[in-house]
Amino acid sequence: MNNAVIDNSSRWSRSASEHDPAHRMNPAGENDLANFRQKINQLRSRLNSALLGKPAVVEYVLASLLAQGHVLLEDKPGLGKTTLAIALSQSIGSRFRRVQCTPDLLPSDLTGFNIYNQKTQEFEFQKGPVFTEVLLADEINRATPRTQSALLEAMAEKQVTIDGLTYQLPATFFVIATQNPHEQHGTYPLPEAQLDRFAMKLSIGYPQEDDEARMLAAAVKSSPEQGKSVRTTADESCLTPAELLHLQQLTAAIHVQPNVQNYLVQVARASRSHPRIALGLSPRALLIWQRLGQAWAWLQGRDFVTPSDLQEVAYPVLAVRLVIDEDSTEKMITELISSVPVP
Amino acid sequence: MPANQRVSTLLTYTLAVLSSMTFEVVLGEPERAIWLSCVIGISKVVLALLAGWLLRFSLPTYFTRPEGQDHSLPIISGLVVALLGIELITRAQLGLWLPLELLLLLALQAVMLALVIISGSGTYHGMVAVMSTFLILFSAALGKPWWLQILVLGYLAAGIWWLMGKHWESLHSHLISSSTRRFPRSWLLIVPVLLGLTMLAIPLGYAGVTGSLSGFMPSSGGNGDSSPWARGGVNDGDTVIAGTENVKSFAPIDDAPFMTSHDLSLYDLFDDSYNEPIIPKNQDRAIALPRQFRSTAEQKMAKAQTGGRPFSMLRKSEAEKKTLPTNISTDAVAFLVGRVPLHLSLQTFAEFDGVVWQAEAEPSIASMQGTIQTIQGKPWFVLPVETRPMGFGQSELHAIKLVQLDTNAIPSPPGLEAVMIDQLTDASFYRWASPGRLRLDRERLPDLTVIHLQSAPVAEKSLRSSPTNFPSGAMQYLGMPDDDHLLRFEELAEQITKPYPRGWSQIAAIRDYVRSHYQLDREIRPPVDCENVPAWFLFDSKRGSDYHFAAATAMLLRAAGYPSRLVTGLYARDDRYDYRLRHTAILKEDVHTWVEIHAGLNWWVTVEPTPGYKVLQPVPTISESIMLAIWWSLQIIWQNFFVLLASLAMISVAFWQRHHLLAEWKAYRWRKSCHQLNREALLEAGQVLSLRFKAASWDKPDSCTLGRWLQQIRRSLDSAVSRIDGLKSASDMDESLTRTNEKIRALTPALRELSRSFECFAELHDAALYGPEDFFERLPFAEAQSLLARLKQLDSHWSSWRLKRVLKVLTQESERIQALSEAKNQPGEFTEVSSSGVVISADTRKAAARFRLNQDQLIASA
Repeated sequence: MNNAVIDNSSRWSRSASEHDPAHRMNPAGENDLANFRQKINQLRSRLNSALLGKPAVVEYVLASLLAQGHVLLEDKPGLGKTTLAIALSQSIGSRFRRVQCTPDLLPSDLTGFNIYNQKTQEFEFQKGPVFTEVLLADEINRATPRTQSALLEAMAEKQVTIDGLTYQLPATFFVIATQNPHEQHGTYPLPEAQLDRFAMKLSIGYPQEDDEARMLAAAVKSSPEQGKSVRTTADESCLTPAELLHLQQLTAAIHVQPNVQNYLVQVARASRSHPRIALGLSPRALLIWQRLGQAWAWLQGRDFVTPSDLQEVAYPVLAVRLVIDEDSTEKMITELISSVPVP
Repeated sequence: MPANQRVSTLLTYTLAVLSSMTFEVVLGEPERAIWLSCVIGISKVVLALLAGWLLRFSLPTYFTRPEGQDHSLPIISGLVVALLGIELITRAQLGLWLPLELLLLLALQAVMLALVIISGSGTYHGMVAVMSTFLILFSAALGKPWWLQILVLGYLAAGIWWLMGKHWESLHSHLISSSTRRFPRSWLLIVPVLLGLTMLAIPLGYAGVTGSLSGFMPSSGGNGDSSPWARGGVNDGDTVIAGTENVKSFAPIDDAPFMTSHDLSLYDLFDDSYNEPIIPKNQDRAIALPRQFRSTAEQKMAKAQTGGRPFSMLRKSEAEKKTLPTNISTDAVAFLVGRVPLHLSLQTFAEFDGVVWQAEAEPSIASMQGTIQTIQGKPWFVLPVETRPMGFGQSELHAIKLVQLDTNAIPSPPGLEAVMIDQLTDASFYRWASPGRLRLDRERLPDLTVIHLQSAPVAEKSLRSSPTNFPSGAMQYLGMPDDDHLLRFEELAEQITKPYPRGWSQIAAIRDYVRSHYQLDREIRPPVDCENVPAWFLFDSKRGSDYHFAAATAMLLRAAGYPSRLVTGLYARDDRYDYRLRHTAILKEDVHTWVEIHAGLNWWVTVEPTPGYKVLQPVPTISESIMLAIWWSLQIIWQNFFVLLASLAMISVAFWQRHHLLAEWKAYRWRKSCHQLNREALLEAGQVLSLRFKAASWDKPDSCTLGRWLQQIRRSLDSAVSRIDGLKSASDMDESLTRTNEKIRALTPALRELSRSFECFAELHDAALYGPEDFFERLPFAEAQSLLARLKQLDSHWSSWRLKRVLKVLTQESERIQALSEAKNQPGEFTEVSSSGVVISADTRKAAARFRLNQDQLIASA
């Protein structure tokens, strides 16, 4: 892990610090949390070295992973969306599948289909790419609505139903979808129902000047094979899927004081009565927001959620849900959050 | 609008209509027909609704504001004040009075209607209901018809329905937390306004005119101020304090029993106060001159002397006065109802020989032309018109009761117009005692009889502007002792009056000269052989008693050619006014001497030369009252200037530093009361810290947790410290930064400590507020105690003033760095300190901008 990156943002390194007072003052679940903390730190540094200079994005992706929420990356091509997804899947020692969404992609191309085996003279189920731990759905808005909605069940219920038979997906099933906001031709904007299944919408953005330079320098030193970045170096994983599942369960148990929950309710109500927000927050959004807050608190080394945690994750969580025009989203979310006093 | 809300709105307006109807019925009693009252009551509410609809139509933006943020409250308050003002005007101009209780109810109704107008989409419905409740309850209590109770019952039914509806509504909206309602800042203006009014009111009380306010409250007569506009009362006011049990009890009533007693005569009274006159023992031989050599004045003097009523300027000194028993009671000789101070003349003197004034002779009976007129059932003896000063002031009434005074002279205020003694219907009882002054044609005035006096005081202002030039025809009022001093009198008079035109200005100049150049000294006496006492007073002693002042002024006035006379009588002092009994006692020592100027016919104008005595001025108009009150306020302010200034300064400082003081007080209380690190202690400490930030103008935004706020400040502290640490020497520093760098360098250890404390506290506070219930139980005791000690140390070391200083230095520094980095067109050193996520509010943004806390919009910045 590059120290410069850490120093740039003391926030991200803070929770890793052994001298962190929050860490020190964390008597609950000391053993469990301490065990996993090291692993998470490894994971964090692995991702950070894969995606240079974007600690915040990494942190959000980690939070999303812990909260069992799916991520929608909205960005231009070539900014490292796939790199991030691959690095993540390899780091958590899980299978990774990538689907390039195009208008002619069929639902069965995603979920799988029954094929007639002439040898056994039976229909055999050919699993589609969704049967994986980490699924990267690239340019998801290029797929037809029919294909998009095929993902709905997979994302929400973690199961796929084909020809009346339900197939369970892995418990740690995690979707990273990307979309290109600037190309409108031949795209099918994601419907609100689908958007609500995503935990957060993130943008990676162009790297900083020096990060870009370092990236180039690293590419010169390495051989073409090594140049494929983390893919070859990340053979050993930080977490097993089982550990990840356990971690996700621990995250769900992070303490949330009733006043903090009430704060969430207030924000939701404010969003519903806001004159410029067409569609406010749904109860499902609140659930995932609370879970993300728990994950965020855990990443900060705390075993309870503060309104600050919720505010920290508010932007990506709300950006995916609130139906506002693009330019004013940030302003609107800031306004919404500012209008509700913290307990 | 949902159905239930529509019903609730309808019910609210029903309540308003019912209460308005009830009130109108009561207001219209008994003249107005009941059906008309009901129609008026209903139509008022309907009109209000219509007005509200029009207003919403024309001013749609006004109604979209949340409750409390509009200007409704000031407007409504203004409405009430305007109503009271209109009532004052109608009282003053039209003589139409509305009883106070109805006036207040009218104001209540107006407020209710105003709320109906602005209630829009149900914003003020609760207030409308409350107002209507008060209105109907009070109206029904005041009204006589029995069927008003039916209206109240109807109101009750509608009210219960309304309450139930509101209850359900509130249950529905229970989870919607209210937005914080703040008292509008503009209302702070009320404080200085109230203070100003209070300041104005204090001198009103001071000036002894509190009684004049009594007319505002209609009364049934218990206080002697019976108002025909009062709706009711105990109705026993007129006899409530009749002197049937205690003959000395006083009331402005005329049924007190007669009583005889051995009372002081007028002369005893003056002799008691001024001491007895010195009677010259040696009489020179004299020879009678032929008749043609004797002037008219001498004739008159001789005539007056035969009357045996002289007033000597030479009087025995205090030492010669008989020793009196010390326990002698100083009972009042008279009681006076009416405005004070008042000069009540009893005797007038015209002829003067340098030592002794001779009382004026009685005018011939033929000149008495007054008539008895019955006014409001009372026989008023009205003086002839020519004796009255026309066109000046307004008539006012006084009533005097002589308690122990043996005289037949009617005490007369200046500008006497009419006299009334109840049951005295015979005009021949009234005689002229001297020009412009009455007596009763009997040995003495009946004891304990109330004499009502109507007089028209003359305002000095109008005298100045009046064309009256005080005719100099009346020779007997111009006579002066013909001795060596005559020329000196004339010279002095001319010297004083020279700059002024003839008329009141000159008179006032002489009066003011005497008032300001001479001292009142009741003990001093002229030498026994003094032949011209005024000259002795004016040119030698320069001090003397009030009769010396009066005589000297009279002499000066006569020397200037103004006919004047000396008057003795009673002076009702305004400081003896009894606010409770609403009268003024006149004691023995209130005998007084003054001067009157002849202003034509029987009209005499009072001139008061003695310092400390005032002449009653007419009732001031409203604008005059306000000016007077302002003048008195200024005087009070001037008299207590330094005390007020100091208080004001202290209050200002306290107000200016209020956040600091509050924070420090809370901090002190916290330090004293907190012995254990637990949730409550930390929350309280958090409040203290928030207050301190507020005091340092670093107000934490509502939407930001204290922990996060502290973290942000902590990061900026850290970066400042690390930047300073990074600079090797002063030479590294940019010239423009040197000063703040030095300041921060000096503060560095303290900043480090503060940063550490903030970090620790932020986590602890978050845990207290949002952590699990048993968080602090799980903390090791020793650790908790050490944390608490550290917090207390932080609390005592970092007072809000110190915190403010440090934050100020940091702000300056960051501003300089920002300016510098902008100049160099490169990011400042603070840009490295970043905080990700959503910026919570504009305030945070501002604070962040101050430190160039670059808000890490990593997510959205693509």
